[in-house]
Amino acid sequence: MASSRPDLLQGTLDLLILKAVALEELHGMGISRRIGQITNGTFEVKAGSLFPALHRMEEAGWLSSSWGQSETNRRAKFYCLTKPGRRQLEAETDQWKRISLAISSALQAT
Amino acid sequence: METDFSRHFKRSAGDVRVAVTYRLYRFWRNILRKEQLDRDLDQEVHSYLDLLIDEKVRSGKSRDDALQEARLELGRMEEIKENVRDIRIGVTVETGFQDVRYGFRLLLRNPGFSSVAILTLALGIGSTAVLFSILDGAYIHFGQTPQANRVVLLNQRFTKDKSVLVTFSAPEYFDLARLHHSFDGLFALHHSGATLAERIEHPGGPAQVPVVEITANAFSLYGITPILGRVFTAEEDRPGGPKVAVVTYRLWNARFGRDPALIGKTIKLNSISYTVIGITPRRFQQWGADIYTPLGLEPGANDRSDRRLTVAGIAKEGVSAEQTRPELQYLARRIEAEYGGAHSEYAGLVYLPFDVRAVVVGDLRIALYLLLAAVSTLALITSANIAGLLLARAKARAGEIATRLAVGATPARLARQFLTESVLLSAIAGALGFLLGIWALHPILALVPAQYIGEEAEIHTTPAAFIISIAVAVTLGILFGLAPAIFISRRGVAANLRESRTRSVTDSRAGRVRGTLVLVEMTLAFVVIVSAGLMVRTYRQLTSMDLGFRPDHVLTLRIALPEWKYPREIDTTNFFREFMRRTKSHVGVTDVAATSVRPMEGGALRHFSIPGQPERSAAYYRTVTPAYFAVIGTPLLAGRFLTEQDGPLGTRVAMINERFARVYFPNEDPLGKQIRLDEIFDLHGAAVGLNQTSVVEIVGVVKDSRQIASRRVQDLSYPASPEIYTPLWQHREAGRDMALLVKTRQAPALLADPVRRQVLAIDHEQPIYDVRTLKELADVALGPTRLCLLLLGIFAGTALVTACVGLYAIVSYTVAQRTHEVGIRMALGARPGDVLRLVTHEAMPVIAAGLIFGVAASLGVTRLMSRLLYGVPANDGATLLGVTAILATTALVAIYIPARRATKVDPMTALRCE
Repeated sequence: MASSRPDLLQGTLDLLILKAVALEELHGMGISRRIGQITNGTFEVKAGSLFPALHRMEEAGWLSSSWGQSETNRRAKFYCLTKPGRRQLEAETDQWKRISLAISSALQAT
Repeated sequence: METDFSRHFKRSAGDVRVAVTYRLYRFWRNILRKEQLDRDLDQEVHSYLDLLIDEKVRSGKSRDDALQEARLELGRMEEIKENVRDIRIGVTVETGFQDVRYGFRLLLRNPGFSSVAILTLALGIGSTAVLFSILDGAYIHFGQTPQANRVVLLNQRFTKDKSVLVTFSAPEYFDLARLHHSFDGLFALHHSGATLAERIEHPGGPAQVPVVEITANAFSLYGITPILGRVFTAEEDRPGGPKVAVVTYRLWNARFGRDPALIGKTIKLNSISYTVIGITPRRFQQWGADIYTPLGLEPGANDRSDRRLTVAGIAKEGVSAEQTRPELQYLARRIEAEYGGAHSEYAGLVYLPFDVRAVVVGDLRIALYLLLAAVSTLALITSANIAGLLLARAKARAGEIATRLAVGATPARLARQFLTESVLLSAIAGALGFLLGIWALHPILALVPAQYIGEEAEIHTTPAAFIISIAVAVTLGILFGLAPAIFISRRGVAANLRESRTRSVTDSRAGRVRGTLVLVEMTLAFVVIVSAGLMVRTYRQLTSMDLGFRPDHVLTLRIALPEWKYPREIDTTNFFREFMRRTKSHVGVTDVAATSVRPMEGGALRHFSIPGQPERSAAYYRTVTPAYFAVIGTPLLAGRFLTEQDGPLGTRVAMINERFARVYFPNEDPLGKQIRLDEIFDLHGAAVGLNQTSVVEIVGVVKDSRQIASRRVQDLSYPASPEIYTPLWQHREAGRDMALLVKTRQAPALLADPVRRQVLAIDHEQPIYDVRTLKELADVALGPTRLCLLLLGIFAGTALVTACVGLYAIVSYTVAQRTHEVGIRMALGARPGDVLRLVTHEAMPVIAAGLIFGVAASLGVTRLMSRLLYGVPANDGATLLGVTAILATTALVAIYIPARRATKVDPMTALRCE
């Protein structure tokens, strides 16, 4: 998938963000880099799509944020998963598995 | 495929419910702590940038390169922040508040523009509310019940002697009532008046009240139920039935102080006792009655020539008066076939249906439609003008807009702000207009002669009018808010920015849009002004029209002497003679006359024939006292006036009008000729004449005077009808109920009370009724003209000013834009004339085209108002020419004022101002 593609599949970005902050709390840049890392560089999330997504998910109650210190000693806003966020991650993961399974089998069928 | 995915994910997202309280908390936090949130967001984005830079520096880039790359990667910071703000909960509400605040600030910053726009809009909206309220009260809700809107009055026309009778005989009524299918039902009634007396001594003294004897079914056909007691039953409505009476709310209120104990009490009508059994609802005021009594028709009646009943019906729902005509035609054929043998008058019988509502309202309805059309046109002109001005202002704000677009505002967001601004403007105007409407309703209604408003009508500012005002205001707001909004969103940042910097280049597209708007304004204004012009000419024709009599300084009233008290002719003669003698000697009275029918009232018709001519005809008929013509000021054309010598012992004489002489004695001298007078019948069915014939000799011819039987201005164009006048002292058949005319020196209304006292001095129980000045009666001829004149005048003035403001704005704008260029040209030797041409070259073609389109549109549109015009054609050349001149002159002044400013430009200043 081309990384220059401006908008990820809707929902995909949410899932990736939830996944990225599932282990530890991260700041915006950290989330962007983590997504690049866990998708082996396939997805590169730009600030233009990341910020609205983060704030939307915070409004939805999946993420909570707090100010903290970055690894380079800069003040940064950190996001972590809330309880509803964790439930959302699970739900979306299940969903995604079902769909990708369905799609793979559809594509393998001749 | 994408959409499928997104649907899956959205649904799963919905599975996880987040507490409503949490969302509410966010909502309030977003609105109340906006500044802090914004600061937070700003810091967050900046920290992101810093982290990016750190990362680049760590990977070995120089600080400057890192900064540049990081900026590139981050994208436009303001746009990101704007996008984040847009997803916040409650963002719509929040920005809405912001827009309203901002809109208010803008309105206040341009008080001139704002107040002109608000006032013109308010005028339009207020007028709409008033006009709609009048239309609603006088026409749409004409009666209290929907049935009252469908009352059809029947007339019969006898082809044989070309007479139209408004009355029917009982057997004729029974035939129709039995055979019809187009009506919910037919009912019959008979008008009479009575002196009302009751046991309670009333301070107002005795009263003459209109009494209507009516068939019992009328109440249920009208769909009314009495507010107290009951109405009479079919059982009571028979010959020799009980003497019961239903009293109207009006009389109950005015005379009995709304005393519920009136039910069951006895009142005396012409000294006969009646028991009051019911009170009608407040607005039920049909057929001019104050008291209804049972008609008591004899079911087996077979006298077909005793025609004294008014017959009317309630058309079935959805059936208009006109649509009952075919059936009535068929019924007429049946009656003719069945009874034509014994009754020769039935040959070629025709029944005529009249929509009572349309007859009462007359031209007023057309006038209201016309005025509503005019006010809508004015509203269009106003909104075109405001759109033009907002457009110009949008251009002036191009720099600001460009900046906002550049920092991430979406065109939709900007458009919404413009809309908010104009809707705000129209909402203020709407509120103001509605207040104006409430205040102006009664003064405006006073311009309509009372005859055009039904007695039942209740006119007040209706909720519907309020809703319409608001709807109009909001629609206009959207209409003229849209123009600049579209204009802005079509243009990109670059164009807007360029616009803000340039001084000498004109934007041709915006110019064209504005030019077109002003052209439309000019054209519409032209039509409105032409309509007003035609109304001015009609009004002048009407007021200078020769009525054939002078209506000023005459007080009129009626006196009906009851038969039980004045049984003989000599008694009534003595009463009226005594009244006139006493009144004439009263201070301020110059003359007094009596007549059976007042001027301007259609009145009675009398059949007549001229010896030696086979045909029988009908003419308007009045019995008058000698002073009649002197009091109303109708001149004598030939022969002599009636005198006191034309008494019971003298030769039977008559006077005729000019029209009578021309029709029946075309090439002869009518003086000395004889007329044979046959039966008399009253247009109101009130006093039924005796079938008494007498031969009279014509002794004088008077000038024609106007008769207005219907409430249509166009009727004034018809020639006068033939009229016969006979001396009262020779023809006292119907002389019990007379109209008295008192010629006064001062304002006639002042004499109403002294005259009443004269009557009571002769007979302390004798009431007078229907007291009016002759001027009031004559005013019916003015119809709705005064209303149209005033309102169209106001609309036309406003339209003219508005269109000129539009022109003024175009030229002012051009001048402002090209000051620099003008400076250069003047420095190079251009003369003021060249400069004028330069700055007006945009406006001149607009003026020319506006005038041409205006003339064309007027020729097409004013035809629709021809029914309201008198003495002037709808395509009146003089009016068109006059309006062209007025509009052209005003338009030239409007463009000259700002254009002159350009010629005063000092080249040095102009060149420096860049």
